[in-house]
Amino acid sequence: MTNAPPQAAIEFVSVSKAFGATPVLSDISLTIAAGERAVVCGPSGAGKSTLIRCINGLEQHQRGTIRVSGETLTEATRSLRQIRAQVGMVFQSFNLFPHLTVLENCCIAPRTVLGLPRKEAESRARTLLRRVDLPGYADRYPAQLSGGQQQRVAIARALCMQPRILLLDEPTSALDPEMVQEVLDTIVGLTDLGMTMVCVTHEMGFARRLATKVLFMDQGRIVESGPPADVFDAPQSPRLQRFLGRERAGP
Amino acid sequence: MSAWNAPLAGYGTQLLLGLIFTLQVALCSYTIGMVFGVLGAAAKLSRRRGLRLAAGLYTTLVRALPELLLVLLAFFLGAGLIERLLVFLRLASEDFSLNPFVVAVVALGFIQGAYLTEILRAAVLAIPRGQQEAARALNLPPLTYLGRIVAPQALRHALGGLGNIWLNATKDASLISVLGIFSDVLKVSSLAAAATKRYVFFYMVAGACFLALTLVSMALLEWLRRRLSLSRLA
Repeated sequence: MTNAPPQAAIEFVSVSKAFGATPVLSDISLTIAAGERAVVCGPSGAGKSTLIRCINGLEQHQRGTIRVSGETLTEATRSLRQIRAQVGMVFQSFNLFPHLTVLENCCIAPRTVLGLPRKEAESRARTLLRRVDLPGYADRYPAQLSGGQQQRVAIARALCMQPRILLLDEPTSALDPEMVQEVLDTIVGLTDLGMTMVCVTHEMGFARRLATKVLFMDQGRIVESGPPADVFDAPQSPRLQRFLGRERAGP
Repeated sequence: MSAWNAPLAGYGTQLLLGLIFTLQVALCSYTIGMVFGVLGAAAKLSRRRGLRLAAGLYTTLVRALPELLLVLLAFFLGAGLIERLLVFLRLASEDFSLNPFVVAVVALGFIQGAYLTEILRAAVLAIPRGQQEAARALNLPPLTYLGRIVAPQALRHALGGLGNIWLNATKDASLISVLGIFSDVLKVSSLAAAATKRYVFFYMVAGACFLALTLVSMALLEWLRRRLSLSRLA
């Protein structure tokens, strides 16, 4: 951890956070290299979402250091702006703007933040909507789409800002079962963009397809991490062995 | 006496002017109320405790006291205080006095603002928190977020409440008739009633005027609601 390579996309050094007296992140240190795809898994309440939300400052950590592309994250507006400019985010509940069309959802940030002219922003949005397999949906409103389609719009919206890092916080947890696969396939299909990705998920099969690195969390700590083959097929800690056993036994 | 004026004993023109005056009072006070309401809601949603307390005091006091009492207080206390303050600050000469119309509509606006504060505050709070997070993650500038994300949705949530306050505004405009210096539709009606001894008739005419205002308002509000409705999209 101390000699992190300069191309590290995300670095946590002894990061801690508590909600009141309850610790949610305890002394977390990790490095995610540029281009790596990290999957964060673990039981509910392990701190997975808090961890991922700290990366772009939606949650504030209390101790330790977080660096994103070498930039140290602070509460200062300037630091947050700089880091969020490189980090896209996809939420569990999509968080699309319901009064804007799909195209407007995708264009609002490129136009107002990056200052792109309308034409350029729209052509970028249309390209990415094709990429998430939603051509022809540009003029619909979110409420007219299925959950899976909305989440794919949310992915396109994040990609329109051309982030170097994409955070996905349980992207399929709010979806009906039959829509999960289309969203997972879309996410796996993004790997050729070479983005760094950090994804919290409960879908173990998907984790194997996507991940170059797996982080297993429990009670605010990273219990085990490594390539998916090691973590999933040869778990070292009893906690992870129990967790995987249950996953296998599950539906 | 023209043909349409005859059944109204010659008070037709005055009644029409009174109705227009009432509408003017309602429009002006509602606009001012909206300013108070937006400021009040912003203060209530502010992170600063002082602002929240001040706004809380405003909405509690105004909603606690009868509107008629507030109008009277504004006229006999508020206006005098402001006049003296302006003179004291040498912003006005000794014999300065505020325009009574301005005092009336500001007083009514101040009252409506307290109710609008609560409506707008609730409308903003009804926007799911996730949208703010999405806006932050996308780096949207605060003004873009407020103008393009919060305001249009809050307006939709608030529309019913805003419409109610508008209907109240048309009726509250008649409160100032007690001051005796304005010829609003209620005042004209009572003058006509007293002069002709046809009390029921002229008060019914006044009622019909208010009903007409409300019906037109409701039609416009319904049109607006349909236009802004998101459910038509689903």
